[in-house]
Amino acid sequence: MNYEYLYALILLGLAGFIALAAGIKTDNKKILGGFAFIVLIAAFFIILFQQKNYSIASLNISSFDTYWALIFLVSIMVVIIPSMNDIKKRFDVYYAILLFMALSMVIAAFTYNLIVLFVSFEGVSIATYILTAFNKTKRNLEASLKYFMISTVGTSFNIMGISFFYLSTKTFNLNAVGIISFNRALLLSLVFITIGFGFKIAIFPMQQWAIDAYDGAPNSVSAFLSTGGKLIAYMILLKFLFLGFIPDYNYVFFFFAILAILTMTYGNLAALMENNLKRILAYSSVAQAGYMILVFALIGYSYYPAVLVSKEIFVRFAIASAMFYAIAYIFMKAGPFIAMSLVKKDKVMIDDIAGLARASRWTALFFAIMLLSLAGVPLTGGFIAKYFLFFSLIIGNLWWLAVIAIINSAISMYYYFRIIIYTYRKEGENNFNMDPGIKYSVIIMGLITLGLGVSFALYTYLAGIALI
Amino acid sequence: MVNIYFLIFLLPLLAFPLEYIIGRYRIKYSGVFSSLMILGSLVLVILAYLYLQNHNFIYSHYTWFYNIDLGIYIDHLTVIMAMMVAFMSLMINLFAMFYMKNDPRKNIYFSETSLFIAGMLGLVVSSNLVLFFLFWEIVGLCSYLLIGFWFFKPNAAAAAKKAFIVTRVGDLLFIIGMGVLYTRLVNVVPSGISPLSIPYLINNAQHIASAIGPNVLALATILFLAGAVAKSAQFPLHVWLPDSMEGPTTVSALIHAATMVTAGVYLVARLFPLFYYASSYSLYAVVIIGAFTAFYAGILGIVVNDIKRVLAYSTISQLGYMMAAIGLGGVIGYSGVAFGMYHLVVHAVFKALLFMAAAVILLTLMELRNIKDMGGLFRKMPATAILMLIGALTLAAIPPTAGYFSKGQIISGAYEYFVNSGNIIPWLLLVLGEILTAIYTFRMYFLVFLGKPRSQLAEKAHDPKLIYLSPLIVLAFLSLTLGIIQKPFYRFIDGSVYIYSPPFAIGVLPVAFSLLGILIAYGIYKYNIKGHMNIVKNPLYKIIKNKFYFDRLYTEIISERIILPIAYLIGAGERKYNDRINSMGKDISDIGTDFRKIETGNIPFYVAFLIVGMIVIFAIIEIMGVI
Repeated sequence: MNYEYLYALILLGLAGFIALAAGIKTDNKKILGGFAFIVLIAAFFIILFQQKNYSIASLNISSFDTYWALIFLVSIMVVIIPSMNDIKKRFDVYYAILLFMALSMVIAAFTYNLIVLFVSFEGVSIATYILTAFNKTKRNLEASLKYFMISTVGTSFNIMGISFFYLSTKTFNLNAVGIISFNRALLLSLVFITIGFGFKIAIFPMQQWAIDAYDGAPNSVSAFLSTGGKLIAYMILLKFLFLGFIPDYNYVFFFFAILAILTMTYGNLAALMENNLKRILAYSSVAQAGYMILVFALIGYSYYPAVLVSKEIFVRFAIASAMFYAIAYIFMKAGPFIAMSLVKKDKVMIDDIAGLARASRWTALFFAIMLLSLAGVPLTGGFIAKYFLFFSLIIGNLWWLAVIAIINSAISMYYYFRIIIYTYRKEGENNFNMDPGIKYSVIIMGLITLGLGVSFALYTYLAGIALI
Repeated sequence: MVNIYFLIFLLPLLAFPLEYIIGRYRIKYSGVFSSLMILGSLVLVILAYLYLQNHNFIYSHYTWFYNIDLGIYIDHLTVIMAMMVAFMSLMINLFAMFYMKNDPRKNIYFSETSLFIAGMLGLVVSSNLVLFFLFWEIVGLCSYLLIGFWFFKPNAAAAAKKAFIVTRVGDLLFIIGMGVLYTRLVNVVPSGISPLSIPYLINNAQHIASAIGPNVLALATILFLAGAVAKSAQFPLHVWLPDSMEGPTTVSALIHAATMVTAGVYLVARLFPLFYYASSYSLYAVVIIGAFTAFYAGILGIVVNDIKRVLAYSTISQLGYMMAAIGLGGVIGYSGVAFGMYHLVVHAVFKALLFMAAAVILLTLMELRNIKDMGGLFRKMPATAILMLIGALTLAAIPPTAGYFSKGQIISGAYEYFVNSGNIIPWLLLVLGEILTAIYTFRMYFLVFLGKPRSQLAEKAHDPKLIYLSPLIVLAFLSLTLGIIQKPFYRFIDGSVYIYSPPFAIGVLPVAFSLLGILIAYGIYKYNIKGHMNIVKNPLYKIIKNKFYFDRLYTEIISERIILPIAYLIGAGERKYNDRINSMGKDISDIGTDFRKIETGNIPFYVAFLIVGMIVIFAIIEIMGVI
């Protein structure tokens, strides 16, 4: 057995324990946070440079999986420095949990075995229950409790779905399943698994916990919940749907198309008149989930006879746009959540951000850029992501779905611009917490969002690796 | 590697922001940097000219998007035009440093003229019609900005608007023409070539005409002609140019005499092969519009009293000559273009000279423009008077000035046109235009310079220092001597020299008419001075003074009676639906507010909601799945 492929995993696990052990001696956030950050970067490069196309036990390492693993590491990296401000004490436990979570996520990225996927997913979930409650304020505890209760329901759906899957295919390994004929049990398994993982993605009927939890959690934890926590479930569904089976195109396509339409419409409309800033961002995160699961609808549609282009290219485009969306999403979504720490309050209302531009011109500018990116304004990563997503919808002859998404996107402009207008208002009397960790995180993430806005080459690369 | 000749228009473009910034901190040095950049452009154009002595063209291009490429194409026609533009810009820019000396916003003036010159040079060297159109718009924009440079004068602001809107009509037609050509050509062009690439269009005109049909090509070219007509202030879209004289006089010299207004003529000359191979209407339209404008603007010029407007009408008229010369090419071939371009270059020189001389006069008279209030300036400012006399003689085409050679050849060409096609109208209009030219030019000249001063300001007039007049002296020298290069010029443009020499009686007619015109002008001047010229009540005079009511046709009939009511109707409809649309936004946000009511925070409710929701969705799918 070649352990070279486990170096990153071993490193992350060991580092988690080292962080815990170091906690006996010190609770210095800079030492612990810096350690976690360095470990994550080291893991990032190990994974980046290790050989692709290799299978070991139930791990399967390909360019596609590597990309997701790297994304997950990035999604944790972005919250490390801002959390030094949000989290009040016990940094050893906090960073150890982040490292263990990174371990789970990397495993999830590298596996196609449903049981392993489930376990690593739970590893992330349980870690996030703790993180949500980490500061032990009333709001934290309430959010965590709701999140935990609802997620338990989700977990049971997952287990049911996996059981149904095993019943109809006699295997847990997604790779081992080809295209199989229509089967009610399999369909049921798809629906159950979608419900189970859809909780984390915050798809429409399962979105309600998310609003409360994102609102109540510490800001950097909200940032992680709405990016990394979502993307892992998203990736599992993508693997499941794309590699597992396409039992009946009509069902799969309509199922996800309806879910996508409901999710994005709900998220966008509910955010319009909301005044709690973190809840606006939470609703926006629901809406973004709606755009992202359009890809599932596309994959379902790819087995439809009316598809014009060749199926492989079509699905390749769809998956590449999902992958691009994921990376752009991390920065543009986590950034605004982290920017909430600029406000010196637990419950951030929209008035509280007024006058940010006066307090710090650059922070306000890059905050605005990330919001514009969420809205899909050109020159930002969000625009490219949406552009390719809608583009793949249109070449797949699903232009009506693209039209709905574009209308939704137009509606969403309203609440994003509303926030921006508030930040540039002059009369704000607010004092802001100009901690350099927060300020520079926001600026750097805004810069990366801008950079992604011109990285067409990344999309071309993703289209190359999209089908493993 | 980037072709060095791209710098022809990039250098002045660089001056556009820098000139503004430099001027902002050191206003004294405004104009120095832009002059240097224009000098650089001129040097590059001369290098290109030397290169083209042994080569046919310089062509360098990159794909811009889809099948539109972006680049430069410099051939013999282009290099002449570019050299003219760069040289005139340099002369006028140098003079403007004197003319604008005391203006507090002169850094803005110089940065805008830099942008203009960049646009103009870019237009000349661009290799694709789309790029050409882009620069065409830039020069239009700069024209707008610079006419309205003294925006605090209501007249200037109105004139800027008028110029912009009228040329916009032409721009619209031009872009439609490009659309026609593009849609027809996109399936015809070989792969890898842009359908709107200028070298492709002019080198394969015959093939294009047979592929898309001469009538379609004629439609496209007539639409291009419409663009040119608006830009070059030809009848019936000439109304903006006289008003544009409200801008600084150097702007009039640069944009509305020497360079921008010739862009339309240049467009027709550039695409001459397309016009030639299209059905014969298109070049006939060119020659008729040109010749008629030459005659028509001459009539209007006679009754105008504003010194700059006289020159503006003369510009319109001379542009008509150029247009007509190119149109003659339908019968006499490519030498029509050579005649037109030669007159274009000569005209740029002497008209800029006249304008700058007028600028000197206006500077000392504090922008008093009415020629009836001048008089006697010959003694007060002899240097200017002599320079302006040279310009006026050139304009009236008196031998041996350059104007005699350039315009005489056009009229001879028109006679050749008559001989070959039996159509005498162009020749008649052009040769009558000659007499009108002499009348309006010298009426103005005599009223300004002869007799006694007729106002306080005129009595205090004086020449500026000779150093400031040096650009004028250069141009005056050129006006007198450019006739020498007539034949080499034709050879360079055309490849072969056709000098038409009609029968002696016909050939001498233009000069005779010019001299006659000067005599008539002297008569008019004498009557004017003695106050015998009481023709204000004369109906013909009234019609001419009101510019044949064209301005009123456009403003009072077309705008107020036709366009405004339509706009009002649309506006009323829109106001009616505005409320509907506004309430729609409110409805949507209300729905959103209702949506938020399901966020109760109650966990059992959440689970119940989830189960019900999934059941509903599943039911929908079941129903759809059955279908």
